[in-house]
Amino acid sequence: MKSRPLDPLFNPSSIAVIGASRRDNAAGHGVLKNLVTGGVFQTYFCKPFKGKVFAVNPNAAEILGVKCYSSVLEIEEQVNLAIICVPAETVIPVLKECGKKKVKAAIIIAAGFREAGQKGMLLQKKIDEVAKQYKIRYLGPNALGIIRTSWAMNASFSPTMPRSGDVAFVSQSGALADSIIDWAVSHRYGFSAVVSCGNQENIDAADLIEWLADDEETKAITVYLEGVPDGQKLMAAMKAASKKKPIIALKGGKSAAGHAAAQTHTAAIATEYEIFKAAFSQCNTHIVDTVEELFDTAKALAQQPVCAQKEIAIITNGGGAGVLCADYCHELGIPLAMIKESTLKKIDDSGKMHRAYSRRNPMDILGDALPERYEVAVNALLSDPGIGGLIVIQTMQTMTNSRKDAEVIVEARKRFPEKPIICTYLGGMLSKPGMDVLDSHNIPDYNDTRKAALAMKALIERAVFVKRKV
Amino acid sequence: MVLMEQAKAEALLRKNNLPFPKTAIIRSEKDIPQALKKTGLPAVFKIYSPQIIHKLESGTVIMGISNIEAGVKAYNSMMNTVKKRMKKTKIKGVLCQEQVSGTEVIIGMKRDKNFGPVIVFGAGGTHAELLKDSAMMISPLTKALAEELMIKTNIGKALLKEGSRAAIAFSKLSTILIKLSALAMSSKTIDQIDFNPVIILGERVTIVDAKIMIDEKGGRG
Repeated sequence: MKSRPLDPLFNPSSIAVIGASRRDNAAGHGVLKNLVTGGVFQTYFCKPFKGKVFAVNPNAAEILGVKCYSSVLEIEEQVNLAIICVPAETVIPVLKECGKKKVKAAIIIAAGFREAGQKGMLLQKKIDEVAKQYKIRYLGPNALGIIRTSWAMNASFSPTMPRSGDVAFVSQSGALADSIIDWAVSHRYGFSAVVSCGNQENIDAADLIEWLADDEETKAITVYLEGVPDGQKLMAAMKAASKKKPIIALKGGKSAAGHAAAQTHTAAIATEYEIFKAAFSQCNTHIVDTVEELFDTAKALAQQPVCAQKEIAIITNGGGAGVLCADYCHELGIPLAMIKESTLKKIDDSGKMHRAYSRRNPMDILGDALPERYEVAVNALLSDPGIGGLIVIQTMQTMTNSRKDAEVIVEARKRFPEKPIICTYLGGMLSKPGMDVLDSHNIPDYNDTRKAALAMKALIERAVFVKRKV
Repeated sequence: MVLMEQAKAEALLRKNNLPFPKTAIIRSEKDIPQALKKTGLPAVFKIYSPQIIHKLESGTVIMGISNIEAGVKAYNSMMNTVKKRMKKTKIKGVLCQEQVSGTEVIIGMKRDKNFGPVIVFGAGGTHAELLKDSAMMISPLTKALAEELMIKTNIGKALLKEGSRAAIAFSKLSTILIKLSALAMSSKTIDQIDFNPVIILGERVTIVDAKIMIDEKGGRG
């Protein structure tokens, strides 16, 4: 693929940290440490950056084992990406030097620009002049930076590095991204990239989505947005990217302040949040309400085929869990398939099923179900052309073999690659062996039947988006 | 932000070939027979003033006028209302319109600072926003998008189930949505538009009331 303007931001082979600091509470220290070690807070997923790292600090010889230069211009080798960690007032001369050094991408960490009154606005204007003069694309200001797990690149001041995965996350809020990274580490949630776009002055969410649409490591793009500098540009980027992979958006700032005084009925109806939702859905972008839903949905969309036929089936070894799941499906508008008589006959004829099994949808294979009963039901239902996808629930009973039940699903995943399977392994410690098998085979598993229903709904919606021509 | 004058709004609608009811302006009692002849019976009288935005809320609409005598009575009662309660309001007369009844929908436009013209469709009437049966899309609208927009609402879905005449009305509504979108895209000064109610009877679709808000600064295209 030919090179694109944001390549040096996502895939740089050399990075300069300008304003690298010895003080361990300074951003310029954290950023350097993240690059050199993978994360200020070391976890299993932290690795040192695979490319070259340079530090710029005129008053130090070396920091964290990295030689310091007094200016970016003194670095003998080429620099692809500059992370500018100096205070707002000194960003302009630093950016100019980057321009002279032919650095093509930068991250401006400092805050205190457009959001900081007249003086900040003036600084912002000057930055834009310099960036234009030297053709520098920059992230921020007021940005956290970028993480690329495959490159072991933590070019940010986030606390640590998450596991590598196939979901990209673009966040307007840096602090939110920080906490999500912390959460992702403990939930073993994998990211291909995490980017905080800050004030979106030069590189905005639309640019990032456009780049990620063609990123081979990213299978789904998640976005947290509060505002947008250019709505039509964002829509164009979402529309184009959605043809290649799913996009899931969470919009912050839903309150409808000021709408009480609307002069027309139309203005009272078309509140800011409703307009954002309309724009997203017009561009085949999935809309979610919470951070948890954002990543739950992304996981299913990244890892499962779309649900091309919207009638689905539920298999459960616990009646209550099946009833709840059916309720959530109903609430979310997911129809449960009528199971064909020929499919039921196949199950009956297997001789493996308890004669009191429910023979309808949700299919309750009863509490004493062993893996072979799951196997018969899963295979029969997925073979039924009237069933588009499957939710498999496991409750923990004395005879339940969680690991083997999961292996049945892994096999079914291979046999029926065109139909989605979503799991709900209810429980905790005792179900963990099964959950681990599902996780290592990229089969989404949720600890709640409503989450499973929401994930299935997204897969049904994605099938509609893929077919949509408008 | 100011309200576009009724005559101008009506002219704009007619220019865009949008279905507006037959209308006449009554400036004095003697205009009434001619006006009713033009619009047909029954008719509805509305106070004609650029300062009254929500007409029904101000109690200045009289419906079901079915002969000249009733017209005269209604006209005089309205003039009395103006004299008693609305001394400072500038009145340009009384608007006489053919009275149309049927299913009420709203078709509207709001220029959004992020996305540009947003087109709204939904269940309409005096309390359209309370019905919570509306959907919206960002301009420009194509025929396919306009139809998708309507089907997102219950009232749109219901129309499609009502048979062939309603299907014709459905198609006419989509044309209005597309025209409204195009009008908003080409205007620099129109900030908001309410076509509310738009009344559907059989295959006939009529924009009974049009309210157009103008942003004189017109900063955004």
